[in-house]
Amino acid sequence: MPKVRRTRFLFFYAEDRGFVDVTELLRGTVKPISVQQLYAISILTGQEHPITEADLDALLAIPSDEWLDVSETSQLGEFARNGLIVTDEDALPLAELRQRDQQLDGSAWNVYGALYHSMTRWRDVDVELEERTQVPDELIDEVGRKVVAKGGLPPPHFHGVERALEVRELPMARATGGLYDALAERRTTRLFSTNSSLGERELALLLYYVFGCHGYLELTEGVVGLHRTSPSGGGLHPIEVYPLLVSVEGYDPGIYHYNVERHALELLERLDAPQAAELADEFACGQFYFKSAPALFLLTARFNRTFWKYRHERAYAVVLLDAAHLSQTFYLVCADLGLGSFFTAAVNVANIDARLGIDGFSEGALAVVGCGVPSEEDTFLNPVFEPYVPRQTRA
Amino acid sequence: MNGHDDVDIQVRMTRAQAREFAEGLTDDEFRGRLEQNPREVLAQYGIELPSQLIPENVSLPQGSEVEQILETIPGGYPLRGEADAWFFYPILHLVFALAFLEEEEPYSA
Repeated sequence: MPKVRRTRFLFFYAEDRGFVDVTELLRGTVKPISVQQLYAISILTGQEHPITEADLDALLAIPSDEWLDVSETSQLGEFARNGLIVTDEDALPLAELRQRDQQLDGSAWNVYGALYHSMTRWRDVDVELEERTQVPDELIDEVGRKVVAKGGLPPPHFHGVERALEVRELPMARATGGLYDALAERRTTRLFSTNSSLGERELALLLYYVFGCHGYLELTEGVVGLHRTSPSGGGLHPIEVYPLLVSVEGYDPGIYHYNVERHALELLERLDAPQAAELADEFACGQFYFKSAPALFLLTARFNRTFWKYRHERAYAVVLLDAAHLSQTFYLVCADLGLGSFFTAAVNVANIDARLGIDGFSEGALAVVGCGVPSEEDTFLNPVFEPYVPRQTRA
Repeated sequence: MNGHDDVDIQVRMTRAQAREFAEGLTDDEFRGRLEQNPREVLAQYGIELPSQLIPENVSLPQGSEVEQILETIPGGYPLRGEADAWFFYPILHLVFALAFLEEEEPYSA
């Protein structure tokens, strides 16, 4: 007789959905009706499961704070496999789900942050794009018109506040050199030259000036804040970077970890260049152009470092923003080095986690950046923006 | 699900199942299976009907009639195609690097 307990990491959701009356349908009549479908959402599995009201009652009858002796039923078995309850059984995947439940229970994960994180852990998503770098302008126009016809226009590209008390135009202050030139050159590059590798100096500069440690502050014994070139909530810097090198002079293609303390690369998995490029494609959900980059950088978070200090509903957002700060700095350093760069959050984080051997919750992947020499091909993948000057240009 | 509040109809149907079921109602092969084995086919889509609600001889409405009604069914999550709008426009996806802005089916963890 197994023991069961409802996981605390469980949400319920009710969705009203248009459907057809099935009983009438079987008798030759089609009649639209509204159906309310209940879902149980398990943070343990990152999936939502349709349930009935009877299922809901049964779930709520199982306590989350103590183990209950039960007789095995198909309903309980399904609850257990779907991560809605945990059991004391050692068979997989039940034991894994129980371990994840215990791990979350013993961590500082905020339950709403955990819900979002769990439900957005993409695995094996593939956008199934046709690998083409040239598309006729007419086709782009046609597709754009179709999308607008279906969904309407997006909100306007510029926004003014109608209730402003006063509008004061600012002087057109200009600056050049150094940072300002890098800001002007910053742009997303999707297609890279396949004839060019990344040099070791460029790699070292990028890692040091984006992800490296430039200072530290011991707050109290055992509590050390780091100083990077980007800000971080509480100075905790939970973001780790795993270079996925495809073509870097002097380095084997493969997956590495950047050891910030030593400014060193730790080789985790040796690959050949085609394997590394295919892995880049898999991680980036089939956005095929990114596999042309000679170097990609997998960004993960050691969540419990930030959650050590911040345990509220915004804590997860703090971690995401930390990754975003680093991305912008990455873009600027690449621009200064004359490299093209990209950031993508459309990544199979569960695939990355599995490949890196991390569990997704104590440490988990968030996004990918990459860089290289831009392709010389004139392609819509590397669009050129028209210059814009406030009050002079009409856009 | 119906006007029979006094009988127990169990529905555990994902959005994908709801869409697939609706699409199937205009597909001859699916219609044939539903007419021949209503209980089994409905169960595949998470719908469990008590025996008394399943007629001995199932006769589905014309596909064209179903098609017409499906176009008018409201709901936060459409039964027909719309939900995957961006998915069907890879060119726009490429141009604006807009990946999966629309909700898809749940992903495994």
